Amino acid sequence: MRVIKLAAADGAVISVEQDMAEQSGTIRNILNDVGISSTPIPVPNVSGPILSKIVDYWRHHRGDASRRRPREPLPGEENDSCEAATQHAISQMDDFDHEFCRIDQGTLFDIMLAANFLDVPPLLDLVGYTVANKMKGKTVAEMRDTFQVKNDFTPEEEEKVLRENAWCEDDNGRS
Amino acid sequence: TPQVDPQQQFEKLATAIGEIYKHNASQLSFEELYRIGYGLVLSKNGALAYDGVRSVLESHLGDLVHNSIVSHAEAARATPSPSNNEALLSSVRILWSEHVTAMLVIKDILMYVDRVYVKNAHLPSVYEMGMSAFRDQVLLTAERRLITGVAKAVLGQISNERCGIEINRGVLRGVVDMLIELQDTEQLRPLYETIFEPQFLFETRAFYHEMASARLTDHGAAAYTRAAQDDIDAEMGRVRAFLAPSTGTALRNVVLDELVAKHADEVLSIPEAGLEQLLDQRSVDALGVLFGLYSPLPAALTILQSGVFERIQAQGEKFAAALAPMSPESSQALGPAAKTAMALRWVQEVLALYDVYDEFLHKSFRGSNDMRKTINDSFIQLINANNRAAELLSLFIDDNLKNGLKRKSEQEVDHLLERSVLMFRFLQNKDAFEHYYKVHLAKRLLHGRSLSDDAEQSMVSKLKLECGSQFTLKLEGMFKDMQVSADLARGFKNMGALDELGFDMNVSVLTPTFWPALALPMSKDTGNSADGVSLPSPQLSSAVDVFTRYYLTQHSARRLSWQYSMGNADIKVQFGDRTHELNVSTYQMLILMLFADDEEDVSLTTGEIQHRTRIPGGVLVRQLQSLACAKYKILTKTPMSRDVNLNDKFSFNSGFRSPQYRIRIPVVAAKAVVESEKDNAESMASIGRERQYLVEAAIVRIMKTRKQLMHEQLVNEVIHQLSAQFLPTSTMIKDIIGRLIDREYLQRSPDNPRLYNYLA
Repeated sequence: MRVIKLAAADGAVISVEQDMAEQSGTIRNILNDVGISSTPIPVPNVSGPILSKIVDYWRHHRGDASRRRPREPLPGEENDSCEAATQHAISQMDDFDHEFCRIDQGTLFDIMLAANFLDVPPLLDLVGYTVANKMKGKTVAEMRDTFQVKNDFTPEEEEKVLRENAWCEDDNGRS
Repeated sequence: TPQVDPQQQFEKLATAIGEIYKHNASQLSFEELYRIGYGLVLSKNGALAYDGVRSVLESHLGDLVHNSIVSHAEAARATPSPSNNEALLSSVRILWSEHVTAMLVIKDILMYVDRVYVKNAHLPSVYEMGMSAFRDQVLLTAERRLITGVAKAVLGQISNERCGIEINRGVLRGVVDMLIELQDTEQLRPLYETIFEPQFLFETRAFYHEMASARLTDHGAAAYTRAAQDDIDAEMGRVRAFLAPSTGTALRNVVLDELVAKHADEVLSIPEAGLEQLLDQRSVDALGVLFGLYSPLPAALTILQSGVFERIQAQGEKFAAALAPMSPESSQALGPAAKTAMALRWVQEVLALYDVYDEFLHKSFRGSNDMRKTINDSFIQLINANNRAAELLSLFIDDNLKNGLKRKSEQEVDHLLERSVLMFRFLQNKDAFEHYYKVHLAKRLLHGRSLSDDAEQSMVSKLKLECGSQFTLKLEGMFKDMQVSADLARGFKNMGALDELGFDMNVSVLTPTFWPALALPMSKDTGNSADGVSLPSPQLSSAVDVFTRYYLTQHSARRLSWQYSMGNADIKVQFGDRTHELNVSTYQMLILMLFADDEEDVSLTTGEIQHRTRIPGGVLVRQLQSLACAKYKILTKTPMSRDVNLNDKFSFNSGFRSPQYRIRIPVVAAKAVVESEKDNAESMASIGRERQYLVEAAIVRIMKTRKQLMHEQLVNEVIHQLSAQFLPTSTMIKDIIGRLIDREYLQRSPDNPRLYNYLA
């Protein structure tokens, strides 16, 4: 198995075996079109620690693609494919995955960006799921607080939006 | 991240694309470009990236269609020679494959754009966009008319190849793949389908239209069909080599239509070289090719079937013509032996012809059910056109079971019997066949003339399979009688009752229902002799009595009626100092015994012989003729003429000599021969009477069940029920219905004269 090198934003070079790295669609493409060389592949928008965490994820999940059965669509599912796909993704998460996500919020978001850039769908699903859970049951104010989102609505706009969406909140304003 | 100017970022991308087209890709950093695309999409500049890339592609492609391609196009338009065509196609193909290669890299670089921007904006993918750009900038631009030129060049090369010029198929493959890949702007179908294929099929049709006319002037059917098949194979080869698989069916249909469908009849009727000749000369392979071409085309196949049907009929008419001397109107007078030989030849020729067509069916017509039906129908018509077919077939089988099987292997024997049964299956008048078969079988059994018991049994079981056991009941009864007689004979011999008499006697005891009406009717008196013949010698009478008594001990409630007309005997006769063993009929024996006294010059007249033996007149004449006027003259007749008159004298011919010790003296017309006209008329009358009963019984049976039926339905039902035996005419049925109405079995319904009611 060939070993390839990835160069993170801070210059850290991490060696990874090819089959692990090819869990990233982006890296797969690069290897196809450019070929394997001794020069590290630069990944300048991912920092060293984040890249390292991602490599951990790859190490644990290497061979998943060949092991996992492809999901068969159930009849009448086209409209609900999103829902069903989500359910499927959740069912594939194991203890390692849950443990993996016990990290601070900043790291979590960095991993999300990196997974998007590197095109690693299961990891993107995992992180997305984690963030969505954090949102559950929070009021708007609480969400703003958790995620440090600046409120850029004017008071009138805010009121309008709340009124329009009142139906999906419970009595305590929780979504 | 520091804010970057998207336009600047994009410029890098644009430059890179240019480098890719100039084959300078190795200088670039893939991941950097990927990151640029990623960055542009994230910063909501996806449209900039996408539309920008499109413009860049368009302008590059526009430049790349450099003048050499355009001049190739001009040259090919002016002079569509093979080399000019190829030059054009080759240059287009190179441009195309370079474009595809570049697009594959570009699409990977812009993968993020595809995944996110394109998906959300519901736009064509980057690759698809690149394809459209090629189509529009290279092929479809109005000023260059390249697409027309390209299509024409491809068609030109195909045309050249058809004329035998060798072309570069690889280039065609590449260009056609391009046409398949590129979609037409409005219709969302490949350019191949909208621009190329219709024109291709049109030109193909015209080409083969001409070809057909040209070939028909000087090709025979075999050469024509061979060439057509070769053409189809060549066209299919082209499909595999450089066309879209989907074209295959339409292409084959066009070629078949022009070469075969439009000339189906003409080809078969080519004088001296048409279907007739192919069939007669047994050109199995050529017929196979022909069939392969005709069978997918229903109209053509029907014409072929007709042709085969007619040819069989024509052959049948030739065979029938050869039988003309046999008919009563003929001027030729033929003896029964010659007639029989002619009859046998007819059956043989028909069966041989069937073998020929059976071979065609399997080797040329691939066992096709349609052809099988045609051939069988034709033979059915052929066979039944001969109104004596039933009799002749029975004679044929008879001859084989007596003589013909001698030198044949078991396989050949079985084949012969199979074929006979086949012909039987085709016969309409199966009841007539049964009638004759019984007569012939009876003669074989009684005279011990069968060659092989196995073959006889085999034949009967085959008939049974065809027609059910009802049909073969009597035949089997005849066999059983012979079996029982053999057992009886053994028992009789063991008793030793005849030892003192000095001769052996073998009696065959027949059950009348099984045996045909050969025998004269059972007499009411006169010492058990059915025909009133009296036995000249006390020894013979004694033997008869002894056997009769013996038989009655076995079967007390029965009555025996002796048929002397049917027996035969072996007698030792002394001629001077020589002795011969003669095999003669019983009657002949009785006559000869009249001369058995020692006086050599005993002379008897016909009248006296008749008086002493009481053999009936006509029969007696034949017996005397066989003894005195035939090959072996045991008696001397005065006068020596052939006809026998009451006062002609007969005496024993002690001067008779022959090299053989044992001689058979056949009675004239004792062996099975073709019936004389008179006998034939009698047989037909008997069969006809039988048929009347069968039709009557069928009508009553049907009406009893159905109670009420329309005339047409009743007729059809009757025909159906009797189909295993014969085909009644509707006139016959109508007559019998009429008689049944008179006898009050049926009535016409008062409301509707075409409706019948059953009267209980």
